[in-house]
Amino acid sequence: MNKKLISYPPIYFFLLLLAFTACEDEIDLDLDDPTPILVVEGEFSDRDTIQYVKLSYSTNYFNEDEPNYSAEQSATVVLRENGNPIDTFDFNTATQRFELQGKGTVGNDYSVYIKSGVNGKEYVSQSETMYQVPLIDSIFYEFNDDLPFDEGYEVKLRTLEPQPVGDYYQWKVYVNDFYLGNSGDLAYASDEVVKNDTLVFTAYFMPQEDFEDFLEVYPEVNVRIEQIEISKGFYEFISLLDSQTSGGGIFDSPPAQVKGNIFEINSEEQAIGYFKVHSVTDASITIEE
Amino acid sequence: MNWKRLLFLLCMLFGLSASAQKHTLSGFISDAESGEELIGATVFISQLASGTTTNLYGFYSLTLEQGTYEVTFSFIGYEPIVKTIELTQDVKQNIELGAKSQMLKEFEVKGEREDANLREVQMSVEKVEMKTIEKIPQFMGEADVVRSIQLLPGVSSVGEGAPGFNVRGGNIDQNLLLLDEAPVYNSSHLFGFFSVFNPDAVKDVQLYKGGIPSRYGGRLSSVMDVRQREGNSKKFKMNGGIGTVSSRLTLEGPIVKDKVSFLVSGRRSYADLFLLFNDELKDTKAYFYDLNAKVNYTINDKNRLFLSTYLGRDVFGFGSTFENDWGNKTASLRWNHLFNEKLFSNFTAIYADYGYALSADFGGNGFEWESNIYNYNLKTDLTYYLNPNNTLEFGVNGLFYNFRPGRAKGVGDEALIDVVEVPHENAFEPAIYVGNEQRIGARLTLQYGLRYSHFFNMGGVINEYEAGTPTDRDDIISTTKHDDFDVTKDYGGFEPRFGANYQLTDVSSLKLSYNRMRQYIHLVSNTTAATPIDVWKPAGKYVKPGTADQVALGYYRNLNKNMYQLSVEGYYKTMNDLLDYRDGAELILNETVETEFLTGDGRAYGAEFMFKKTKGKLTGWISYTLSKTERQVKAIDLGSEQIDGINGGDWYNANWDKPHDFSLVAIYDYNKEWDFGLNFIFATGRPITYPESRFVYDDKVVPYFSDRNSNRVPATHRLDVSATYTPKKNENRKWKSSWIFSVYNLYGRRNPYSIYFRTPPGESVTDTSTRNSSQAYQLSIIGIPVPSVTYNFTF
Repeated sequence: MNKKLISYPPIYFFLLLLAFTACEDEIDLDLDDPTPILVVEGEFSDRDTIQYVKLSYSTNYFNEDEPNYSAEQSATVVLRENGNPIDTFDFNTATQRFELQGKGTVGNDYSVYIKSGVNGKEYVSQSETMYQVPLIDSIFYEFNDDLPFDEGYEVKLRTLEPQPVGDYYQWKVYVNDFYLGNSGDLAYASDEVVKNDTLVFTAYFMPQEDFEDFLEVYPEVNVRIEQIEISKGFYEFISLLDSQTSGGGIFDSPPAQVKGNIFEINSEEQAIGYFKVHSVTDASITIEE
Repeated sequence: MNWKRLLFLLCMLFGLSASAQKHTLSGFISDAESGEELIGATVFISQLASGTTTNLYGFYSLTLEQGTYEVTFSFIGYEPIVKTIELTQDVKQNIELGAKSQMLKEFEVKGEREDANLREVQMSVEKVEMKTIEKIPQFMGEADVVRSIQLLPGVSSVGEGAPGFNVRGGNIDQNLLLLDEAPVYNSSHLFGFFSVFNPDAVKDVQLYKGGIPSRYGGRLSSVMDVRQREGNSKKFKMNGGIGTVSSRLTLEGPIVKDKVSFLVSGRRSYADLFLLFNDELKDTKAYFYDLNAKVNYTINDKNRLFLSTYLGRDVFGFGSTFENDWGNKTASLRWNHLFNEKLFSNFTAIYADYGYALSADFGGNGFEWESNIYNYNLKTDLTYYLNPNNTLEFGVNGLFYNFRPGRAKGVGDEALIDVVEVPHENAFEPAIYVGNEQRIGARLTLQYGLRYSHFFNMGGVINEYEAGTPTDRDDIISTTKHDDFDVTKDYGGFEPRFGANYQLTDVSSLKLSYNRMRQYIHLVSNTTAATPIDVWKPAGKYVKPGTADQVALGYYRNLNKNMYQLSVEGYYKTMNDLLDYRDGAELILNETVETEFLTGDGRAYGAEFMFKKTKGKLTGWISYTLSKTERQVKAIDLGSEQIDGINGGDWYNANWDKPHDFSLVAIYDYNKEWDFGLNFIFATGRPITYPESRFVYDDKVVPYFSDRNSNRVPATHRLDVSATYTPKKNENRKWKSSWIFSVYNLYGRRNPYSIYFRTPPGESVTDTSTRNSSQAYQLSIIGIPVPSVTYNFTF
């Protein structure tokens, strides 16, 4: 069941109730330095573009530096198709990523092999099949001032959703190429409970306030939404990642370890992160006041 | 074994003797002014230096040798009545006790026995009088049963505003909450700030933390037995109050004097009315209400009928966009029948429903969602007052459940979701019990019993998984839908109960108890504080019932003619087959929720110290609990894959583990116009988890956690005060009023509820300067002093 489709807004009422009595204080804690663990962020899609893998290490929670993406620049990073090595990701010092130009074929399985340049440890991602993403039929927006505590633009997609169930989606939102992280309204979903072959839904809600902020920086507000067909494994990974980063109160789930699909060869150890195999399509629209 | 031998053995066991002529003295004890039966009133025979107490319906029965006895009928706060009773035949003696006058209260009559705490075999039981509850300062001035019992040893909660309570290391779903014998599944209003028990409608509250008598079953850790008032059978009365959060009104009176009486009590919060003044919030609905109604009919000396109902609801909404409501409904019909002077019986029919509904409409795509758990219970409880040394209790009950965990469907032209329905399940839980309270000599009293309970899970949908155990929805190899009354799995077992009281001296005693409890339904909740939309899951093919064993030992000492009561209790409890959850579990509206479950064990041990002052101008208590509560969830090895346990299968601290828990409650009766209340609490902070490290993924800083609950939030402490003003002019008029002024959290302590880790937001959506930052935040639910005023009246 996807929690984003059916959310539980009473939490907002709870916060409203507490508006007069509750307080949130920033506190300082002293946390021990951890043993660094390899972090892998990689993706490979059906679009002919630069595919990449970023390698870094986990750090003390309060370390505010950008992760050191060059620590593993001498690592070996190999793309595998249906189990066979087919290409190599090369380190690009400008972008601090391992990159290759190319695209995958829907229906094939892909994985990545990584050999650390620091300690020689070898890792491989769990192989994933690339599935075909359904096309976006149209994109449009509506202004909504009927929402609790907020008003703004609902950017909606009309898309085909093939039955039967078993598809998982992610939506990434860009405003004039400014990536909004996972702050979209419906950042990911499973089609387990959806009803029709054609879906119309709000993929992104832009509060009025944000709209005004964008206009201060950009001449116009162009919203581009990527619709991405992801694997079940990645869906579970970002669900967990989302629950671990959106915390903040009384109805939190217990903290859980976000791991992913990168395993050390001949070991029980796991790196952190995911090598995501996906197919993608997009649509964009300019919002006018 | 032949009958004669069996009879002989029974005679030996119960100390029967046929030699002397015996007769029974029995009756009901009630309040002279209202006609309400008194629970736990004492009947004391001076010559024998022993006696009995009234049961939950105010009934007592004593079988004595023929003779003339001086009998004292007494109850705390009432004028005792002494009667000389000539027992040459069975005597029925109903007694009405009058409340102590103010004058006498100040010059306490000494010498009567108020040492039930020493004499009774029952240990680990907490009784809080409503009069005390009303004087304990509370948040927003709302007198609250659940908040008050948390000031007692062995009872705690995860934090301010959290629903329910934890007893001796038990989860909140391990408490059996009974309102006139009907189960209450959610005890909270406003998520957990207030409890559903309207203090004006409540007569008596007893909380059993251990040594639970065999008549109770179904939960592992405690029983909170709440009895509603019957309503004044003598004259019409009205009382109520206007508080900061809610207002209350109670009407009661005779329909037929001394025969039929009624009570109707309502309470509604009205904080939402203030929202009307705020333009942005004026469409917001946020309120709760309770309605308690009761009628009772004394048909004759041998038969009484009680019909009581409760309806409570919380409602939240925003215009037409969203609405959510939840609450309990209960009804119980009871028939007290006296077969004879020695055999008291009670037949009960119970209905209970906990449910919630949600609807949302976001312009074309919305949803409607509802969930319910229904209960139907028939039970018979009998008490046989065999002789002064043996009181037998036995009974049988059949509890039927209908679980409708959730059904959601899309609404609107562009509805996204189809119908999602978690399969219904039914269950039948019959139980039978017998227990005896036996006095052996002048010093030793035993309470022993045996309960047998069974559970049949019926209907529903059973999924078979490839590995034989639920792993993933994709691993389902077959699905069978069962008919409503098709038994899919059953469990059962004995639940032995034992208690002993050894009176060391006139002012001290030693008690010991053991109980085994079984619990066939679990609350499925994975959040720090349970939410109103959590559902209950019955034991079935993939969910085992929980069991708990607890031993407790206590020492009790009364000082200065029972003015001070001192007690120390130690307990050790093990709990098996508790529900836990996999990382990232989706528990809401999940049709294959069994794939999210883990099974674990629990253990809890501790020592509880209580020092209580029961008489004089200053009353109250100091309680301190030293305890430890741990859980363990081991990994499951399926051969091909492994399902991880928690913290590598080691014991870890439960969310509500608070090693030190101290409370001070003081009520000072200054003069006729003023009394003052104060409480102070101190407790170790609850366990939480700090991140071991962090990593960045897709421009997000993500905390990486290691062992669960290996850190703690800072300690909690708080001081609350109240003053009650009863104007002098009350004395000579019918309309009596009082004012309660209180301040909760007097020195504005920001008690941490939780600490969490987050990237601080930027100034605006385009500000990326904080993107790599990480910060720890501490959330305090109530971080300021909260004053309140309540006006109460009776007419």
